[in-house]
Amino acid sequence: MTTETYDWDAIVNGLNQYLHLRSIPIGMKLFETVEEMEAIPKIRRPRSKHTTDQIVAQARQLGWTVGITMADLIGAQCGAVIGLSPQDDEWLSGKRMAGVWYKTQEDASLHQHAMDCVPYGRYKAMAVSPLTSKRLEPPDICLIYGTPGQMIFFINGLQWTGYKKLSFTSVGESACADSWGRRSSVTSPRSRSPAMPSGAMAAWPTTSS
Amino acid sequence: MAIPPRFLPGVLDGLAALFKNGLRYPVPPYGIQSDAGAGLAVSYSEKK
Repeated sequence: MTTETYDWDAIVNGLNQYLHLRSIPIGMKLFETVEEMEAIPKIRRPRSKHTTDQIVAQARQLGWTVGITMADLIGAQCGAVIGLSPQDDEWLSGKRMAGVWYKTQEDASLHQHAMDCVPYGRYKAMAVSPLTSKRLEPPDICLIYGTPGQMIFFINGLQWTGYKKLSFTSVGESACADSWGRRSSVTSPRSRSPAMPSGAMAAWPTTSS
Repeated sequence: MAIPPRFLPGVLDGLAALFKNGLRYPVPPYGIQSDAGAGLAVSYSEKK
């Protein structure tokens, strides 16, 4: 249980005032039980298989509150990033990407090992929701999508006081691992670089301008 | 940007301060042959 409280209306109004966002600022939260996730007011549950990217996009583009379990996701790659599917030997082998995304299985396996993922086992469900819906109270992380210009202003605002140099990573394919996957141990912001075409968020720089 | 919620109030304070200093989104385009001093003289000048 957390005691954090935020004035989400003021925060989102401020972000829109200064950054002119065209994408809805959303939150993401992991749950240890499916029941906790399903108890969120007006939660939507997918009726078919999706990528996690699609679920996130339903919140940030349509304003939906959506909850998922591993059973709602199309594959292990999506689930592993957010800790809903094991990062086991099969997953770490990179077999499914060898010769497609990477020349050799060794390269593909190095990619899998390089991904930051929520450890498997603790969480059973995830939900996304617009910050102003106040349904995740509070979310684990906030996801702000924008153009490079909007993002650098966001970073400038973050660095206005208590300056720190920010470093961002990119694993390439499965770039959601660079942001959502690092959420469990996040102490500093993670920028999601433009994803390779693995989902709805692949067009990040243009669709959220 | 994926960011824990506790950072957002500080981001807004920073954006408000930058806005007050004339550093605002969107940034007007600067042609590669235009006089750079027109803008930089404001953004990097000594505080009066």
